[in-house]
Amino acid sequence: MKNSIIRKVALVLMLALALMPVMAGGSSEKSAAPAQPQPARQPSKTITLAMVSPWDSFIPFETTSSYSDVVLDLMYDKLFYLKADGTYEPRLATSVDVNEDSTVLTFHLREDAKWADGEPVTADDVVFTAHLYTSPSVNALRKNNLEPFAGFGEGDGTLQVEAIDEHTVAFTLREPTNVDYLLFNKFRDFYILPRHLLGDVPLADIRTASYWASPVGSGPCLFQSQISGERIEFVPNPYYYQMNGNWEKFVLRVVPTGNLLAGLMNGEIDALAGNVGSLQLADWDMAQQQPGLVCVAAPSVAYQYMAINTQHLTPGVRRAINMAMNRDLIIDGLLQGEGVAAYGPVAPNNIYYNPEIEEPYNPEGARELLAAEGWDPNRVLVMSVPTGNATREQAAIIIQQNLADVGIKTQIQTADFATHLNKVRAGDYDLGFIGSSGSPDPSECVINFNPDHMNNFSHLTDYTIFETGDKGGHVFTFEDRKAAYDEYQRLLREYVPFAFMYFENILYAHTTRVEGIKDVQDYTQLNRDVWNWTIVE
Amino acid sequence: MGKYVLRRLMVAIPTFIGITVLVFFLAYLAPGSPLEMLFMDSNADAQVMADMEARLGLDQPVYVQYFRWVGQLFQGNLGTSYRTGLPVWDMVGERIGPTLLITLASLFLSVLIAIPLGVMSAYKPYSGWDYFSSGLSFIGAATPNFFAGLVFIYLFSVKINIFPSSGMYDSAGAHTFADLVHHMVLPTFVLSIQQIGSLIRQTRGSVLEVLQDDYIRTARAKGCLESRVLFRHALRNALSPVITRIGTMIPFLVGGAVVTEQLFSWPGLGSLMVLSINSRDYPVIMGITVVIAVAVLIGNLIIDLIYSVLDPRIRFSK
Repeated sequence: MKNSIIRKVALVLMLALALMPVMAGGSSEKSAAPAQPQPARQPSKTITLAMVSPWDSFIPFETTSSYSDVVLDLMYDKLFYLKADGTYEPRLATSVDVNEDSTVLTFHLREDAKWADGEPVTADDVVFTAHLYTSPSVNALRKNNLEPFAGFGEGDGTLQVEAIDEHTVAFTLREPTNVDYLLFNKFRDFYILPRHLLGDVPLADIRTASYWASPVGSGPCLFQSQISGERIEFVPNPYYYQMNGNWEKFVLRVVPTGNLLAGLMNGEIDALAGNVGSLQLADWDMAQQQPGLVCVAAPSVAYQYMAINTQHLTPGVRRAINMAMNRDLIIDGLLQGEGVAAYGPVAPNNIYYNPEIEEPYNPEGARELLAAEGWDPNRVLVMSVPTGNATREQAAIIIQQNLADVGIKTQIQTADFATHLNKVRAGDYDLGFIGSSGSPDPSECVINFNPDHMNNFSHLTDYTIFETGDKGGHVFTFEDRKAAYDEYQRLLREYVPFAFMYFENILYAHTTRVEGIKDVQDYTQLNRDVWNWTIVE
Repeated sequence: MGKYVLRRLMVAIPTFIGITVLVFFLAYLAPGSPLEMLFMDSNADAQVMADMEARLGLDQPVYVQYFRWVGQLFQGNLGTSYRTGLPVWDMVGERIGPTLLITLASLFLSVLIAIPLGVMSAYKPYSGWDYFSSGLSFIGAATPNFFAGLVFIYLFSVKINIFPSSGMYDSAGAHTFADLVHHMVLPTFVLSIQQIGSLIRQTRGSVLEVLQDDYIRTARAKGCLESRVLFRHALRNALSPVITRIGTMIPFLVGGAVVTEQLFSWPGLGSLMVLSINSRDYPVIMGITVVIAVAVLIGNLIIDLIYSVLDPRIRFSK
């Protein structure tokens, strides 16, 4: 009897053990190349990069997620490598020419660029990609990026993009437009797709094409396998034209923020993804004390702001709110100095920054303004704060106290981001906290002040701020652009549709095992030069 | 027996329908739509958003959407994810294995640890052993998963560095079974802690009660070995409430897996559920709900059947 029970238990255990690999890998792990046998010994030159949330899709026109952008940038090449200081370096395009009246952009592509299957990357691929993104049957989520080009939204929607020769491609603009504005705002997430692999797929079936299960791109990494929501494994694209690194395998992993430091310390992770994977402030001191880690507090163009419902509050009250905010307290107390005060969307170290936008902390002035506006001290404003960013939630409490000090009562309402965004877009709020990934180009935030745009969070009805800012995208000398953005920033201070709060540093770390990681701030421009990363044993 | 199973199934079907109605309407009643998140980008376009709303059928009344979803379900189709564009079956299929892995391992571990501790505790009440296991059960039952997870990561990943803090496999190594077990240790223990605590208490109480019964005294009087009295006579009769408790653990384990999977970056249904709720990905929320509801209902059915085998009176009661 006893033996029989033991036998049964042993049988159940063996069955459970036999099923474990099936449950773990059999159903969840997808490989790009089932025909290729798994090597007996995995390459030891592996780099593991960590970000804090999973990607959505490998289809560039099916996502707007910054986490997906990390993956897409590794797999697909882009025209230029954008830098946080507002300059750009060659990538697939070696240079860009603009015709005399700034209506045609001509990109010159590298002649040695190849897809990971060995086929050359040509101008036809760029034309194919532009047409695919703007096709009405595809309805790409970021289709509007190509809105400045002729043909967009007209007739059958075919964009005026032409392959001049095998390595030259010309984009015709609807109206003269500044090239920096276009590169930083419109081409930042323009991932080139292979015509020879996707060109024969009917557009109606493009989303379900088998290609997306194991994409072959022309970026530095070639997809190998994924565990959905946990990791993607790559090998180097054998044909990538600027590969300098010595890694043999590249793993992108999803790791919660709280585990990043633990992962770096015990060697599970080699580097963080930066803007979508940086250390929490509570871990920063400890990280800096670790001998095997290189820690960098990189200035970021990403900023946090408080949208103010212009339909609920007068310009005078909005300005009083802007004056009442003690940004230094947030920077020194909350961020422990790892950030700078934001008075507008343009960072203070940007060449387009206008110091006139600064509104110093002035509670007395705020009180006077409120008195002049006839402010009712019993009125309670709804302060809508999204969850998911602990620093921002704590900043809301400081600002609530700042506003109480000048006689403005507020009630904080926290909600998940989707709910919060719905309330803000519907105008069902007074003060709403939002973040932006920012840009070195000063035009980044202008669209938010277009009364017709869905991201007009402050519900402006006046076009003045938008039109002034938009002018900066259509003038061509630095002086003309500076003048336009100076005026735009002055208007932001005067009308205060947003009360800007802070630019928070990226608390970045990588292990000393990996070298070649530099300019972490460039990661906010959705590009990482992983081709330069090298493992030192 | 057949009638009993049929009766239980008849109860399970309306329960399942009720769950789907409740979750579907609650998900839709929550403010914010899936499109809000997809169109957060500053280059987003209202027209593209409106076209997508029509393509996904989100412009239809909620009851129309529900019946369309039910129609799809009858054809074995759970729809397509708004967030990823992938079939929900594929997404759920990829994630169900890892969740089953840690929940079943956790269930097994909980039973393996809690039942012997509970039995020993009841056998020698108010002894040092009893105080130890009772103390352990209180600490276990009162420790939230996220807290235990953080402590375990600090101790075993950072300080001693014997177990990884997240993921299913090492980056550099091959994806071997040993590597998988190594990564499973911490999430499985964390998921088990609360269950071990409550199962020790349940087992102790149940065995303690049975040990007072006349037939135990009779068995002892007949000269049975103490181990036989304890494990054959007492434990078997005390098992019914314990098994019921194990049955109720299944939904708790699945619920606990949501936190544990997030904490250890374990790619299961729990972490997918959190992601889908945040992005209002209704088809995936419903897909996971269906899978979990079916799993829990089947789990309960199995427990009911075991219960009825252990205590035949249940089969015949109305």
